[in-house]
Amino acid sequence: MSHEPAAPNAVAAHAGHDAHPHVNYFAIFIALCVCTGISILLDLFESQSLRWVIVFLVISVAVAKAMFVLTYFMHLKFEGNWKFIILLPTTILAIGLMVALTPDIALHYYTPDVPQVHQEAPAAPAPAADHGHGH
Amino acid sequence: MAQTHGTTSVKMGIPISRAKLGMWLFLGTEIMFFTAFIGTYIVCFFGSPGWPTDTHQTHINIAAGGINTFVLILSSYFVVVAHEAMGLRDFAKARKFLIMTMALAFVFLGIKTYEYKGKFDHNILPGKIAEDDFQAMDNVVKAMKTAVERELDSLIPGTEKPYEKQAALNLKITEPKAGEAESAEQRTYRAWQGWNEEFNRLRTEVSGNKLTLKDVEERLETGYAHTIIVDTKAPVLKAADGRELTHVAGTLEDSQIEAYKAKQPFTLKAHTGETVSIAPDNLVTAVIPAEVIDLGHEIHHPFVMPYGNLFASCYFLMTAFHAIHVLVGMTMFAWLLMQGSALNETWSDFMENAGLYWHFVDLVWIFLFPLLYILPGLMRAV
Repeated sequence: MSHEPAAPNAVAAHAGHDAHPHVNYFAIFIALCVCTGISILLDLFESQSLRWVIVFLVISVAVAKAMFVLTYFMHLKFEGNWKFIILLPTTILAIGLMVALTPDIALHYYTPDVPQVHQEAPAAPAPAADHGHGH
Repeated sequence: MAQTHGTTSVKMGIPISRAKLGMWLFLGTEIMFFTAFIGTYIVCFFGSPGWPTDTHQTHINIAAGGINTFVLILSSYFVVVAHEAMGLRDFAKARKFLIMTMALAFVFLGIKTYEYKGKFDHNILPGKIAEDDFQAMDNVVKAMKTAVERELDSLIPGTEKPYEKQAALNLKITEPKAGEAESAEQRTYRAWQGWNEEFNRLRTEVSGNKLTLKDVEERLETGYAHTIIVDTKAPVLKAADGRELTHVAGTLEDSQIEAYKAKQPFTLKAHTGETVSIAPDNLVTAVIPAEVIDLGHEIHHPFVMPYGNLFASCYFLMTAFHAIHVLVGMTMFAWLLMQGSALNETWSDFMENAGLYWHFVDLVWIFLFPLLYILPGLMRAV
């Protein structure tokens, strides 16, 4: 489907060295600003039960912004299929790296034995005390 | 592939300029470069129970981060406009927008510097953050040592060692003549002695494991302003419960300061808790008048931040590498701007690549902003 808008430009791309598809860049800029505003608003929204929903939304907004930049500012919408050849391997490797890192640190398949954790454990009300200092 | 087949037999492979292909391949490696940092950060975040999320403590400034996000987005827009203008052979417009992009890049780095300064001022630095009570107390001792030695340097300039300077300072102190007011200089020397005394006392007590973090906090809260230090052999100081003391330090209230000046006896609530009566003939080694030297405000309230050092490492690694990328992007724009009026269509490939690079820098910040500024605050509710 991305071929359809690209088709007329593809012709131009061959005619001139550097084709300039017409994009309303200002509209994209406004969209990016709105997205930033949304993520800041989400930060102000405090809800214990909806926390993970908000986290998901914040990340979704970031991904949406990234897509705006990639698609329009970086012209990926108007590029040929080579974009997949270049971006797919890096994406797979990047995700693979995260997956590879996870068991090392995030998964505790042994009893954590680090001083910080020891300190945390007996001081269950400690975070509450921290609250007081923070404000 | 079908497109290229019909149009040309000379140009094979991907139908884009080599420069652009090179830039995209490079950006591919850049994606992996930053994913490594971001991935490590996320994994550390979830792998560390009690990861610092309090933005007051970490000095993460959401407003500054938000403004910087806007600044980068706007600069990205300007780059795109500049690139478009180059395509339309409007090089004056391209230059104008490049200059504005440069200006925004400076704004970004300025705000980043402001944020870094906040971190440096509050010692939110890798390896400097206390992760338990003892480290927090040590940090107070270190801060006080720094303040006391810096003050000594200003009183006795030179390259001598601190103990040599201290000896020099001791020699400068003279007993005030009867009926004469102490000179301002003499008062400063005495005040410094008082601070040094307090510092030595704190260091000894902390290293002797005699204080808890709460004690140190209380001492900082009462403040060292108007601290009196009485150190004597005879007549012996007596605590309210009758114990004999040779050394006592406490904070003076206004009425007590008056009594001290009028050489009248008064009772002192010592830092250690006991009430001690001070006679005029007790030897007062130092009075720290707040108006002479107040080092107390320089010593930060001690805090314990589990995993704070790991947090600071992650923060600086990600934001500093991002800032380096901003600098590289600025160099590319500067190169274009240095062409001045000679900027023409031969530079359009360069312009496009500089633009792609700059958008990538923007892209990285788009992820760093929620990950560093927004999500920790949301996770705080845990």
